[in-house]
Order: sequence, then C-alpha cells, then structure tokens
Amino acid sequence: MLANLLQDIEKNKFLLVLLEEDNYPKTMDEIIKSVEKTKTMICYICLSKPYTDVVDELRKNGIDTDNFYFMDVLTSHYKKPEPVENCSFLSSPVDLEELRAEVIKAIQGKNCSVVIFDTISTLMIYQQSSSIVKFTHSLVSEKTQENIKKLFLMIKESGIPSDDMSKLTKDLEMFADKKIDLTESQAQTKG
Amino acid sequence: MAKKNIMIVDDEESLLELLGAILDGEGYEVTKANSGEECIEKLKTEKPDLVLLDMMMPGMSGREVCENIRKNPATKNLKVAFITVAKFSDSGKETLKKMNVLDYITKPFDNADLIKRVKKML
Repeated sequence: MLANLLQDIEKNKFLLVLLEEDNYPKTMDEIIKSVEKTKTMICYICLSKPYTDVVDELRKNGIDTDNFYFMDVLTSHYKKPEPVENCSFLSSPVDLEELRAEVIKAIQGKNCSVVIFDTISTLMIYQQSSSIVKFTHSLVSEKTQENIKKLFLMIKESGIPSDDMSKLTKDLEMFADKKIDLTESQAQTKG
Repeated sequence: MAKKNIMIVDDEESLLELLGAILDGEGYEVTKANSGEECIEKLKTEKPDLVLLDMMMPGMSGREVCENIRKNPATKNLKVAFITVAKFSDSGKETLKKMNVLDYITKPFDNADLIKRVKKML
C-alpha cells in the first residue's frame, strides 16, 4: 500500500487523502518524509493541532523542519502566541480569506511549492462544505498555483458527521487529480 | 412552436439576472432558482428542456442536485449542464460523464459561446 501511495504522490499534483484515526499518524509521517526529501519548501497548515504540537511530532519522527513554513489557525483562539520566524499565527479558522492570502504569501514570498492542509476536514466544524470547496478551488485556480508542485488535502474521519464528510470529499474530488482512500472501509472493499 | 424552457440555478443573484437576460433575449423561457433545494422543489411541477446548474452553492452543491435529478424517475432524463468557475480534473470530468452532464460552461463566459453551446444541447 505504501508503494502505491508514494507512486500516487509522485504522479499527481493535487491529492485528496482520506485517512482515519488509526492510520493518520503513520501515513502523515510517510507523506511528509516523501516530500521532505525533495528539499522543497513546505507550507504546512495546522488546522487540527497547534503549531507547537505539530513541530514536536515532526521532530520526534526525525523530520528536519528547516524547510517548513507553518500556519496555525488555532493558537490565537486561546492565547497570544509567541512569535516565531517560521510560522504565521492566524486569527481563527473561520476567516478563509485571511488563510487564502497567507497561503499565497507563503507560496510567493517563501517559495513554498508543497502545501499540506492537515486536516482540511477540520474546517467543517466552522464552515459549510461549499465554502471549503470554494476556498480550495480558489487556491488551485490562482496564478500562484503554477508554483505549487504538490497540494495535499488531508481528510480524516473524526468527529464530523459521515454525510458531511462524504459531501466534502465528493465535491473536492471533482477538482483533485487523485483521491487516495486509506480508510478501513475502502481497504475492506478492495479486499 | 412552444418556447424551450431553461432552468438556471445559481446562488448569485446577479448571475441569475445576467443569464436570464441573455437567454430571454434569445427567445427562451427562463425559470430561475437560487439554490439547489429550490431547483429540486421547482422540478416537482416544472419540466424544463435544460437545467444550467452552478457547481458550488451553499446547501446542496451542483453535484448533489444533479445526482438527485438522476435518481428521480420523473427527472432522470433531464438535460443538465454545469456553470462553474471550476477547472475540473480528469477524474472530475469522468464523474461528469457518469452523471450524464452534457457540458460545463466556465465563468466568466462569453455570451456568444454560451448561446452556441445552449443551442447545441437543445
């Protein structure tokens, strides 16, 4: 399965990756390692965990974060974040326009060519599915998209009603180059 | 000869007005719906010759409306096309084919091209 995953990453630009709680840490680790070794700048958007937690996990897994630029939409919600050089602390996960502008800035100003949304499905707590699809699509339609080599939209089955999740996935799939479904139900279907 | 009826579905009022005016000017009868839900409701009593469906709407997305149309025996053979700002991926285009979507018109559109494509679908 891992070989297939890496092959899909190699071949496609805009990837939709469906995960579940159990395989989420391991798969994220594999994906990040596969893009990290290309030595390109990675824009990592922390939607489900604050910056400090994400960085701790990456370092624990032996990943060098020098080539990462982070965006944290959570920390400012509950405290005043300590400014750090490699992270933008955004005001909230509600303001998608702010997030879009920051991602574009990271692509243009920081030369990020890999963008990872960890996890885009978390936005469902704050946003309608249609807003997330519009937001994502606006990013891939921007002129800046020419500078993006890989865009990962991670979707995790956790705490979001399955109907809403399915709607988001199907609508995003219309624009994604590849959907990689690593959920158990899919694995069972495939046998 | 009876006028052909086109239902346009978009959450942007200005686009509904614009499309309505263009199609009306070409001699079509136009029905407007500003949400997927309103489209489904109107299809219970109306039978348009073509539905032009915005892809990204709050509530039901264009994809969901189209699926709903195809599942309903009364509407399953309706001609449907999408209006979209989107650039569909290859897999997205495959999905459009499976849903029997005749065409997709990208916003912003050229009026003459829109009319030409509508005529072709009808």
